[in-house]
This record gives sequence, C-alpha cells and structure tokens, in this order.
Amino acid sequence: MSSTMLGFLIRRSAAAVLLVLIVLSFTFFFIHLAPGDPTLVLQDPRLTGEQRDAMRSAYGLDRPLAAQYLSWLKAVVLEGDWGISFVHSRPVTEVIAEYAWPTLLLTTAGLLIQFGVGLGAGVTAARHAGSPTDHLIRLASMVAYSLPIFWTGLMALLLLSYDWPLFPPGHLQSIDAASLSPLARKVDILHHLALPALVLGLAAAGGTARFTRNSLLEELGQDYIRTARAKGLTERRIVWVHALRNAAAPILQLFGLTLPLLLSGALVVEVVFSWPGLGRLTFDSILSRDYPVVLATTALTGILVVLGNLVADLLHGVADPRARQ
Amino acid sequence: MIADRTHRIRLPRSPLSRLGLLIAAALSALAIGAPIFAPQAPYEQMDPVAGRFLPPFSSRVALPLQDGGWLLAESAEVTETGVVVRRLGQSETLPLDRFASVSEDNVSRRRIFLLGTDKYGRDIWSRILYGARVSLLIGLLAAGLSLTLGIAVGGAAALAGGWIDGLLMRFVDGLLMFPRLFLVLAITAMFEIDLLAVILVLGSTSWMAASRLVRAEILSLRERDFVVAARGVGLHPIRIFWRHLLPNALPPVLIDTTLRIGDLILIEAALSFLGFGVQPPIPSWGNMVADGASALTTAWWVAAFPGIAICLAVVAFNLLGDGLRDSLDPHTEEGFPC
Repeated sequence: MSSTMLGFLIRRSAAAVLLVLIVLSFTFFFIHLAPGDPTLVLQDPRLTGEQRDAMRSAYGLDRPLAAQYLSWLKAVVLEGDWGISFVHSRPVTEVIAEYAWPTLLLTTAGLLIQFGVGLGAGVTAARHAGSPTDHLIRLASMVAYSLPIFWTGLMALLLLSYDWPLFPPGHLQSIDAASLSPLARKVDILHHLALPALVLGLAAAGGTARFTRNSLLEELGQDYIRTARAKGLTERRIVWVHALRNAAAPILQLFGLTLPLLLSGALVVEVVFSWPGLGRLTFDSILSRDYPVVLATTALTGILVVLGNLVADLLHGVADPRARQ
Repeated sequence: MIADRTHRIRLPRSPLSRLGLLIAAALSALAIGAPIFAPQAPYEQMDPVAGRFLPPFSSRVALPLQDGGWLLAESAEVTETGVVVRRLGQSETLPLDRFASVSEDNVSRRRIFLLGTDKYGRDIWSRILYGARVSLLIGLLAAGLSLTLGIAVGGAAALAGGWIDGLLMRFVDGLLMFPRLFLVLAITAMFEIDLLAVILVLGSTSWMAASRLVRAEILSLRERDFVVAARGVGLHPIRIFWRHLLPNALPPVLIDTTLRIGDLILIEAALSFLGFGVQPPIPSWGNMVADGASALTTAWWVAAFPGIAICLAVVAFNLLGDGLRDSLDPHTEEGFPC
C-alpha cells in the first residue's frame, strides 16, 4: 500500500470518527434539550414531586447536563452501554441487535434494486439521449422520487397482496414459519421481503437513474470517448466500460448521499408492512416514550450513514488516485 | 450601484416545467378557493350512517332534517303519508315533519360525491381541497424558514471564515448524516404537535443544503471584481453582503428552495401519515392516507386519492424547479434531489 493511500485511509477514517462523535452529541442534546424530561412523560401523573425527584436522581437526570452528557458518552463509546429499554426491560443493545437484521436485509435488498434498476435505466437513457425512451425514463424517474413511499406501499399491498394475492400482506415471515424446514423458512422470508424491498428500491431508483444519466452524458461528451469510437470499439463497450468507469466516482458519492433517504424510506416501509426492523422499533418506541431506544436508533442510523459515506469515500479513493490527495 | 447580475431567473421554457407551473398554480387556486370549490365543509358528516364509505361518483338525494342534520337516500319520493325513502337498501316511509323542507326540487336533485366519502361520511374531494391548504402552506412556510436559516448560517460561515466557518460546516455535516425522518420524529416526539410546531421542525431540519449553497456562492462572488471594487470604495461589509453578495447569490438558492418545497410536502405527508404531523381532524393529505390505511380493503378510495394529490403537488414543484434551474444555466449539472 502506498503512503498516499495509507494517509488517505487515516485521514478519512479520522474524519468519520469525528462525525460519529458529532452525531452522538447531537442526538443526546436533541433529546435532552427538548422541553420536559423522560420521567414526566413516562411516569404516572399521580406521582408526587418527591417520588419524581427520586426517579430523576435514579436516572441521573438531576445532574448538570454536561455531566450527564459525558457519562452517557463514556458509557456508549467505551462500554457500548446504551442503557436499559423502559418498555422491553432489557439492555438497549440487545433489543437493537434483534431488530437490526431485518432492517439490514430490507435496505440491502432495496439498495440492490435501487442501483440495479437505477443504473440500467440511467445508462439506457444516456445512450438514447433525446429519444422518446430517454424522455420516458426521465419522466418515470421523476415520478418515482415524487411518490410518497407510504402511499405506494399501501397501494402495492392493496393490489398485489389483497386484490391479487401474489405477496403476503406484510410481516417478516408466515405465522407457521417455526414448523417449516430451514430452507423453506428462508424462501418464506424472501417472499415476505419482495414487496417492501421493491417499494423501497424502486422509489430510490428514480434519483439514481437521473443522476447516472446526467453523469454519463457528461462523460460521453469527452475526448477519450471520441478516441474509443475512432478505435472502432462497440458502443456497448464504450458506455459500460469506458464512460461508466469514469462516471463511477459521482455515482459512488450518490450512494453516500442516498443512504439517509433510503433509511428514512425504510422507516415508513417498515411501518406500512409491519416489518420488525429499526424503523418500526423507533416508531413504536416514540409512541411508548421509550427514550433510551429512540436515542440509540436515531444515533445508530446517523452512524450507519457516516460509515456508508466512509465506504463510498474509500472505494472512490481506490478507484481514482486523484481522490486520495 | 456596482453589481452585475450573474444569474437571472426566467420563466422556464420547456413544456414539462410549464406543466409543473400549471399544476402548482391550479393546486394553489383550488386550495385558496376551497370554500368555493368544495361542496362540503371538511368536517361535515352529512349522514354518518348512510353516507359512510360511499364509492367515488356516488350520488345521493340529500334531505335537510329538522334537527339540522342531513339524510342521504338513494332515492326519495314525496307521497301523501310522508316521504318514501330508499336508504341502506331498504325502503321506509318517514313523516314529513322530520324534514326541514321537502320540495320537489331537493328530492330530485342529487348530490355527487366525486371521490367518495370516508368512514365518518365526510366528502373526500372537499377534504382534499382543504387539505391542500394545510399541506401547501406547511411546504411553503417550512421552505421559507429553511431558506432563511440557510442564508443565515451559510452567510455567516462564508463571511466569518476561519474557525467559525469550520465549526459551522462540521455542524452542517453532522446534521446531514441523520436520516431526516428519524431526526424529525425524534424531535416531534418531545412536543405537543400543532401546525406551527410542524413548520418549525420541518424548516429547522432542512436548511443544511441551502446553507452550503449560499456559502459556496458567496465565497466565489467575494473574489469577483465588482465586490472587490465595492470593498475598495470602502463600503461597509454588511452593506456589501446585502447589496452585492446576497442578491447575486440568491437565484440558485431560490431554485434549490423550489425543489425543497416538493421534498417538504413529502416529509410532512410522511410525518402526518405516521401520526406525528398534522393532527386529525384537521385534514392534511398525509393523515388522510393514514385514515384510509385502516380501511384499505373495504374502501380503497379513502387512501388512494389524497396520495394522488401528494404526487401531483410534488411532481409539479419538481418539474418547476428543474425548469427554473435549466433556464438559469443550461449547463449546470443536475444534482440529486436530497
């Protein structure tokens, strides 16, 4: 590994660590600077002032905010201790671990669809720029990212699950999943995954298609493409190998940029499809005022985005030496 | 005045962006004129029993009752013994004195429920029009707030420079890492939610991109000759900002704000759908879809039509913003809407 590469890795990782700390701090202060405190909303209104004070000191809420912040940060960063969930009466980390993998499954499938469909449609539009195909793809992608995802989810459920029962109506698996063989269980989960992942992925594919088209069109106007054409390379090879590789850098950045959108979308999709993931957990925890969990999931999704951006950055650095400077 | 107009916003020329402008104008007109265009008030339950879940294009005879309510019937006929009413699939004869007025005219005139009714018998078309007021107003005001905050933070960062610039931009970077819906939900969960709170929360979580844009524009404008000249003749920095920097930095930022309106309408809708935005019975397109979600299989129209209204509004503002951007500078790279 060259020294510029190593320096690049270290710089980017340090920046990401700093961002994670900023994200953690923001989350803490959002929740704690808001009017009211957890004991007020959580507890029975019939509690006396004394009882409430006792509770506040038990949760450490009577200490100065700065002290609370430091001890919370210390517990989170050094011990991985996010506190105890009020509702689940278990460590928050345990609860989150249980809800994290359905979200990872959903967002990974969503990402695959987003980039599969988005890149395909974007490249097709760019290759036929100005043609009716191009106009159709541009309009369709604009409509895709203008649709409210909760509504598309409901309509998909209505049409493809109730009216024409191709897909199960939400949830992670069938009720009788426990009695199925391991392979059948996996197939069952994939069957349940298909519709929410399509709703999530196709909505995000709109933006990707548009961005890919524009980045690619810019590359296709460059001199080296004319050279490649002059060499007699096939158009397919020129677009997919030469131009797309150079358009890869902005598209990689797009991955980092769209990650927050994808996670927000996943929250809504999880609620609509009763998908037991982090979004659904956040939603339920807000309803039940389970602050430690809300704090953890909010911070965690922020950290996921930081990591996603870091990966995109590093891949960009690997692909393009100019980015390492 | 020493200034050069580097950008000028023109009316977009492409047919699609004109279509966007047209839809946006039509929706605004419908929202403003809701009391004229809506056949009913948004909360009016004409007949909670027989008016429930009427499918689109249903028509009913509406008879005014003595107690102020309405009775919806499939058909009605005035006879000597009373009014023969066909209602909920059954015929019954009701005495004349139950009605406030029964004339040949209001027995034969039928009321049309264009987009059907919801579970309380409220007219969906009317609620969509009144909901347009709420959804569009929130979108516009939140976009205005985000524009103001974006100018304040971006302007401060660009003008101050040094560590203040660094600090503000790290702050922006950090905020941009949160998926918006998680952030907005975590914040709204702490408040008593009313319309103002929704606007404040949405506006105060969506200014980051605008602030980056303002900062970048001002940093590039600052080195331009007319600004250097303005500094040279000894104008006060605040005056230079207001008279020379801001007016020239504004056009691209305003266009970004147009695109942001669609985005904010979508987030408001999602927030209201989840129950943390506009609270019922005030109609917003998002909470109307939520209303319909629980009756999806019995009455698809309750959820379907408000969703179409959201799509129309968002597509309109996106088309408009795109067209404005293209007319500002045909060569700008189209960015990703986020």
